[in-house]
Amino acid sequence: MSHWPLNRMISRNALDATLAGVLLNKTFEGHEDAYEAVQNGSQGPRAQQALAQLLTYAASTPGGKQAATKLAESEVKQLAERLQNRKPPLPRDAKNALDHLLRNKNFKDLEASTRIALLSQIENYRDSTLM
Amino acid sequence: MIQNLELLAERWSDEFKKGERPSPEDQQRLAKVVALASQHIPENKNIPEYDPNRSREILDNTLGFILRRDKLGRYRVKMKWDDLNTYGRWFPDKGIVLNRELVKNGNDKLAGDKAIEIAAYTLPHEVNHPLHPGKPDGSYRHFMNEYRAWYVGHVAHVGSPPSQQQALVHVYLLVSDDRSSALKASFESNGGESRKMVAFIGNKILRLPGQVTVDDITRKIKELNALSENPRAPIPESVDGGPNNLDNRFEP
Repeated sequence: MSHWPLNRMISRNALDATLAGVLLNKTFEGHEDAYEAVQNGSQGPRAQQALAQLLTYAASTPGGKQAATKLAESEVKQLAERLQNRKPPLPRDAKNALDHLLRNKNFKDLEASTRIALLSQIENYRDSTLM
Repeated sequence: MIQNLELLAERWSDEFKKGERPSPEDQQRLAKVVALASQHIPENKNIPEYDPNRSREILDNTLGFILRRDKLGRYRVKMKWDDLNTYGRWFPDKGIVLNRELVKNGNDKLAGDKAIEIAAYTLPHEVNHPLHPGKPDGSYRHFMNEYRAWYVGHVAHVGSPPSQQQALVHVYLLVSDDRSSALKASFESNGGESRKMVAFIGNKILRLPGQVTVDDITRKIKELNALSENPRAPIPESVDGGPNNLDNRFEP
């Protein structure tokens, strides 16, 4: 719990959950790629775990949850844009399937974390012949 | 793969509306498994009868069985994660349960032999079970249902039928392991169902002529390395005219 100063403040009960969410949001605003790197573990498991704990804590109040959701939504947007604009582009069938998925109402209604789980897998296999 | 992930999104949307919501970590696990199973092509290791198209056919049917609704708009099988002492199991009431410990959560690619086995072997294996109704009662039908599910999972995973040697090891475990206690008890009882199992193992797997005994099988197990890896395992068979589904095809 003490990987980041924010986590240390939480562990000392010195930081309100809403404030944690807002601070988290401000920290990563305009640096969504850094947020994504921490969340997907490429900055190491400790940072990933610290962020997960912060997000869970922030989500315990409506204001904190709103801030955490905003961050997650920016990640979804960035993932989708990266897949749509990648170079070399996705094969035509895969591009059509991706566009179809992104327009799907059921998909759009899912929570950001669920959409990230699905889009991340597409990104993981972006070079597969069976996209 | 993207189409399968969209079907998964629809399935989740449906389940969430009914209040059935797996944890975010279990959602990540299933997304990883579906993604891998959607694009798995077994490596060609020069095993006899290698045919990646058979593997793809089984995996595509498997995913369709899990992700597509039936004519009445219902999903055919529930999907869950839990702590198990096996890779996965099918329960008539709980559906398919996969071993949570073997698949790490996270949004990375499914990695590690055991995790890949869950997607490419366990999933088709467990889907084969609801396609062959029958109780785990230690009967020859039960034995054949287990052998068939293993055979189908193996073809999906490695792209070729198992060898005679692999089949012998597998069936020996089936009838001697405490995890399949009904089969073990039935086999040891030396009754009518046991004799059918012994005949299948002796005459079909080991290709021994005439009447075979448990001692003959035990002896062959001890000489396992003497068996060539080349002969393929026998194709599973229908019991009493029941289904013998070897590619997990299903009624749309």
